[in-house]
Amino acid sequence: MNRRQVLKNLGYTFGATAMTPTVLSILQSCTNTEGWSPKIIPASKTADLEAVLDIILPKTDTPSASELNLIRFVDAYMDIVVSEKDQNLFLQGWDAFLAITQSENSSTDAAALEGQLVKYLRAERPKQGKWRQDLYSYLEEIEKNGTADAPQEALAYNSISRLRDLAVTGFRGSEYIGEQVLAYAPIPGQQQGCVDLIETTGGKSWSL
Amino acid sequence: MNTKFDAIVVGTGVSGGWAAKELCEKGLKTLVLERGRMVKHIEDYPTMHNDPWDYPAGDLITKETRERQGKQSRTGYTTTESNKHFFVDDIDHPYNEDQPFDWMRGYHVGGRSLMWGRQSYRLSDYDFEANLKDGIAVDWPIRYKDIAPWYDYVEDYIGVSGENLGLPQLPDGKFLKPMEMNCLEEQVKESLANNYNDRVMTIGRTAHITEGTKPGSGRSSCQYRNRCMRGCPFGAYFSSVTSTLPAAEATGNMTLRPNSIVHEVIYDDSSQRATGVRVIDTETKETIEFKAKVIFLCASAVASASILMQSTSSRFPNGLGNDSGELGHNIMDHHLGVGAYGTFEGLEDKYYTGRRPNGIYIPRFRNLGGVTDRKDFIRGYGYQGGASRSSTGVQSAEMAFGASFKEEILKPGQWTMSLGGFGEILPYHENKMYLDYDKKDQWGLPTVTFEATIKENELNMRKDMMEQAVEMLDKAGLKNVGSYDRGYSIGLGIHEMGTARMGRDPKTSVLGAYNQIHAVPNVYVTDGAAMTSAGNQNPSLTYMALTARAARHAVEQLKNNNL
Repeated sequence: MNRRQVLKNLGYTFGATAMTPTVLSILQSCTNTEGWSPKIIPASKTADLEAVLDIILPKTDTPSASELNLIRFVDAYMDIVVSEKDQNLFLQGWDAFLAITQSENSSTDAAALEGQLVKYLRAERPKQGKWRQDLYSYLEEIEKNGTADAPQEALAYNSISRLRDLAVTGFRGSEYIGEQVLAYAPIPGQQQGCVDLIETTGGKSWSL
Repeated sequence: MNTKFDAIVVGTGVSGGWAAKELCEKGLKTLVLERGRMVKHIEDYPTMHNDPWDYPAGDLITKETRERQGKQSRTGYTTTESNKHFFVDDIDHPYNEDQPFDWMRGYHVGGRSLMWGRQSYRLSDYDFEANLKDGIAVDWPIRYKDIAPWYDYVEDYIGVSGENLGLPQLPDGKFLKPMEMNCLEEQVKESLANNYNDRVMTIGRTAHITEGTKPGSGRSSCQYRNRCMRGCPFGAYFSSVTSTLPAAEATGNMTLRPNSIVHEVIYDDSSQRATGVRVIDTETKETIEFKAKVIFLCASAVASASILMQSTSSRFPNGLGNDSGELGHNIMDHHLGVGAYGTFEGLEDKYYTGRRPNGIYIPRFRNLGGVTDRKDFIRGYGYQGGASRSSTGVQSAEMAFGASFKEEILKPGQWTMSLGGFGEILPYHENKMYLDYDKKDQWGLPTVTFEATIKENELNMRKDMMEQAVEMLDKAGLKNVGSYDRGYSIGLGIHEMGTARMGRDPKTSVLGAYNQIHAVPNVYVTDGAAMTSAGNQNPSLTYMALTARAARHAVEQLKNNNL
């Protein structure tokens, strides 16, 4: 059974309830039998990447990034949408992120990774602006001279913030979240300009 | 194969569909030619029910699409996975740019009536008198009173929802019930009413059924899915596939022939009339001639002009009907991509239902006389835009990641509102298209080259478009108001027009008051090519009204043996 079919069936069985362990094991088993292999992210790096995705979107009363297979979305996006140059920049930044994590913590365990996410994603705005500027200067210099000193933190910041944004897009755009968690109305049938949020969707965003 | 008809219609989009309907309903045996493939209602809407998760990376533009449909992708929204099937492959259908020109096309039965923006506004006498008053280009040969009954007729048939405002610059129409503004839009509307004497905000006038049904192939009310461009299984918006072509078909008088590229109108010197068209069958590669008493060119502004330019004879060495030298010139569009946006603090407990396939509209308020007149530009612009709640809020940006972040991104974010201008472009003779016989397409036909750009009047107007948008949002209490000018090349408005303009004098225009070629009265051109000036209103409704009017004229002329 494919994952889509499982989720379609789940919709009828469980309605909008959160995922139970049984449900998740069904999903996992589908995942395992489908034998997915990444196209852009090197297979040796998927475990770390998935660990970071799960820190960004951990399991709560909704499924985690790994339970939703968001790594597949990230890989597909990199494969189908992103230019080869951008793919390489992302992977280069990912390597930088891991190398910095290792050198600062002598480890890349969950605690070390989370510390790094705090450092990059919750940094003060000027600091983030500086990283963006450093990256821009680096890319400009490469464009001009063909070579430049790679600003490791700026590269890491670029990849980790990109990954976070992709995780959000993939999460909100996943079938389970889109159909079962967010307010899903494939055929609204009517249009009202101004309604009460709680009464209408229980405070949730429309998925489409 | 029958090759003799009463009438030939070239093209099946908004104009061609109307020509087909009107001519067939008046009893003319009509051949309707379309260069692209057949599209059947519902059956040929492959993505109509798809959700973003039906695509591995979401519903966006892929690298592969950018390679095949690079120019079509310039809008940023027309070639996403769910929309791209109705836009041409740029490698198979090339054109050339001496200056950047965005030419968005759909080669199939229905043409761009399947993917159009559906905004439907009437021109007014401010527009029909503009060239005369400003002393530029040539005067329109018609006035609002000539076309008003045809606007009524067309609106009533296709279904246009909207609100009558009683404005002289944006005439009222026969509207179905308007869609609703959302809470923030209502506030901004009120702010405009309180802060300005010269401008108002209204809901967009859009060719959607909002109550009841309309004739055609099962046309029913809008379901607010906002998936229009993919093809609508409810037939809720007007397309020729759901509306005018079924009406033509029902008469038994229409022969619809897809895969037929018209490249030449055949001219007979002795009768001084066109006798038919030359067609390449894209499946058999054969060239076929079809004959008729009257020919309607409705292939779109650029394609119709291109056909006329290819139709050379000793009488018309520079293209059929081109005594004036204006054929292919005066190309216009609406310039856009400039405006402002802002965020709103408040209304957190408010939301909306339905995905409204429409926005708000601020009708033109410049150069209408008195204090509205400007020194830095002539003509005017309108705004289209709207408010909505973004998918992620400020709070989630600060949290950045983790469990509470994950909670937050399931809630609607803050309210945002944007206003984007649609400005009039003047008819400049030097803005033109021409044919390149050195670069031929796969059918051996010359390709089109564009050489056109906006000038000082438009550039000055853009500054005002930006400033006024910022000012209105500021006054309405929006925060973080920012302005943008994404730049603009002619064509991006997808309103290209003016390449065979109407006028009063054969020496300075291609078409007369009923869209007939001055010197070849049995050839009518009723698409965007006919436009003498552009106005700032979305033009498709005008093309439909001009076409219906011209078709009635042709039928009468045929009856009286005048063609």
